[in-house]
Amino acid sequence: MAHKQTTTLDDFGAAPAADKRFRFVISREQRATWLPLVALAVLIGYFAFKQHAFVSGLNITVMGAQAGPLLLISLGATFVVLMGSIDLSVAAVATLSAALGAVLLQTFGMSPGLAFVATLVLGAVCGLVNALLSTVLRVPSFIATLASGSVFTGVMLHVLDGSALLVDNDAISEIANGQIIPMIPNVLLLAVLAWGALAVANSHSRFGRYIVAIGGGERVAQLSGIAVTRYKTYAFMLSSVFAAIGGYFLLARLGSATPSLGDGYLLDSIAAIVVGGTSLSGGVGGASRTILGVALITVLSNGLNVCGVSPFTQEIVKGVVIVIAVLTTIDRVSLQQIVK
Amino acid sequence: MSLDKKDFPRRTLLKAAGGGVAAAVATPFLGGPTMADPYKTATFHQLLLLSNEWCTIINDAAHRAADVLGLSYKATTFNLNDSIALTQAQAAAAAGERLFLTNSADGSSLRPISQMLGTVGGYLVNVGSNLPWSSPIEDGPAFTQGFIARENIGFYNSVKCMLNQAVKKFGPNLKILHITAAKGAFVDNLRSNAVHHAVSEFPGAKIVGSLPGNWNAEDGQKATEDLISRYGIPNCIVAQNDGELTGVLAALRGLGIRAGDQVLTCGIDGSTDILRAIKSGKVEATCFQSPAYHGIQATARLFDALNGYKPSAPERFVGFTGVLVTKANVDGVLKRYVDNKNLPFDPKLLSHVISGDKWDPQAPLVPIKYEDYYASAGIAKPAGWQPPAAYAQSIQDGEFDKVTQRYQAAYKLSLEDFDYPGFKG
Repeated sequence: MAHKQTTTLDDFGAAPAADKRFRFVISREQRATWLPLVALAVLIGYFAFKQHAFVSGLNITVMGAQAGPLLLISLGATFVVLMGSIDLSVAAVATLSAALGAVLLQTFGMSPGLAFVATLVLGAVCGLVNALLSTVLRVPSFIATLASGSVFTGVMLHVLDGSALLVDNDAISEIANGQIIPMIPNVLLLAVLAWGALAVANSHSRFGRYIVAIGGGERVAQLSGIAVTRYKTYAFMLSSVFAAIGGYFLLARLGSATPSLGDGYLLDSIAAIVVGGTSLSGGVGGASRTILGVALITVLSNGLNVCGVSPFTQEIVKGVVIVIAVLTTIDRVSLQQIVK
Repeated sequence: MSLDKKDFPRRTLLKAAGGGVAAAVATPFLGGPTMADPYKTATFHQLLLLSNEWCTIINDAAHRAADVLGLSYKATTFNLNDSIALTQAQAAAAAGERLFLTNSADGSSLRPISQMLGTVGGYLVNVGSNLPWSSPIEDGPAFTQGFIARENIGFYNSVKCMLNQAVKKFGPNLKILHITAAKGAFVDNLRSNAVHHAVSEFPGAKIVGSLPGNWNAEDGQKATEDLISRYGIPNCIVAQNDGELTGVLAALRGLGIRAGDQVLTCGIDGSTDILRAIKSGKVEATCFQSPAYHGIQATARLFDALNGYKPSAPERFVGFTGVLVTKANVDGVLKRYVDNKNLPFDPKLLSHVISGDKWDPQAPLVPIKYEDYYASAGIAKPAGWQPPAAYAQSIQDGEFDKVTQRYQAAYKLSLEDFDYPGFKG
């Protein structure tokens, strides 16, 4: 699959002259890669200058522990966004996975390994449900995953009976918080390994290239002989499986499953994917970039806290930074001209 | 206070009494509820957030109390959004429901709900937040009771207890981190003031940093991690509720810091996992505010209102102080309130209508003075604010003090009687 992932009117020599005036010297692809890095460097520099504790070993470990679950949840969802759909059920799947894991560990005394496998199966089932709604029943992914997320939340509330469930086992905490490599929490190590694998799969496997093709133009991809339904199903399942893994590590990190465990992860994951440079319209970006978005969201959130910025101001700053990051990375002109 | 007998025509009473006798005779054979039925019944509707432990316990206790008192029961979850609560209350009232228990997030739905209920003959009890400087009296007669936990006292006790232990362990100079809640919320202000009040009594103690934990464990965990990153390991951490405290403990565990040894912690509410953490020595103190009492007491008030009990002005805004829980009494609290299948309070004894002179609040319930309560949250009195006339009159003519004394005299079954086996409901 060629690197040009969207077909625009530019390709037919029809780009308005006015648009050309606003083209930057560097290409959109370069901007999407480098500007999040520049933004990240600026933020790190600013926070380090404002508060030296920001770059302490302890805080770097803390940020790693906070970023790990978000990266896991965002990685799988990136493929859904990349194919031009969206998965709004990731936070619900993560919470349901944590709830199931807590019940299996605490109530049934299951081993952490078996409980983890069970959450993987749960994730696959949730992804299959989303895929069926989206591909077989042809419900737009926005509605399908919003609705399925509500169903998963309801199931989770039944599982937890509306209350928090403590997992009274310090060993479970080690799964996420332990450090095989000093200063790098296990949850971050796993997330980075998964990121590496998915980034390679994204750019060097048939699955990854087909997902990009579907995002660039589903109809064209179908006419080219790509089994669109099958690959969309894979992407939804991948998204839910990684959400479930993220949920399991959230459980391990907190030591208890609460109904609000996944709150905030839906918006954070979408923000991380888009800020990283994956276009919501599909076909542009990929898992390799999502790590930048996750790093930016985590650094911003942690840095504002460590620098003692008022919680009210934090909300304003986060919103402004995300908008600026997206404005500087996505190609708004081609978004208007995409032929799909 | 009066039991308005006009609501009980003789024929109705005789009919009900006949039904009551029949039910009383039949119950032992049928195994049904023990409540005879000489009283009015209606559907009792709860508007709660059914996805946290606090509300789940209120819901369960109120449901079982409603069964005991012969009320049918429904519940909806309003996701801590008062506009949703209002919509749900309107829909339920349209369906003929008349008794409502709310756990209002900010108090904004209370007046419209009570005004709506005033037009259809229903009643409301709120066990959640109130709009600052508002009163159930002003919101109309349908708002039969505003119920609060006296957190300004309970949380103060919890923090002070922890600080006393910390001074013994670390000396007088204490570095404290404070995990607050959603900034600007009334209850957050109330609890923060209680914390500052307690800390002010320890000259060497200082709150070096605070961040919001937004009432939940995940945000409490992140806030704790970020604060420790900036300020280092503190001597003490105060969490604005036990949900956040769960996150504080997780953060300490993740950072390899020993809770209860290197860092002392405290909270408020009395959630199950924190009670167990007190037992294991990881948490110093919490204030147990019995969500079950919130539910059962409110159900009894609604039952009484339905059956003609007219509360006096001081009885329309009441509260109680919870139990300070430490390692010394946590076993008792777990025994009566957590590991007990029975209701920890007797709903019939909580009903004025059923129990009459034997009425027992079963908690140190007291009428609340609006000025004291709202001022304790640090919220300035609005210009020109005047207390409701009936309330002001009750202060002036001594009725407020008489009600206070009567409640104190009626209080028999102690909140700290941990041998009470509970009510089978």
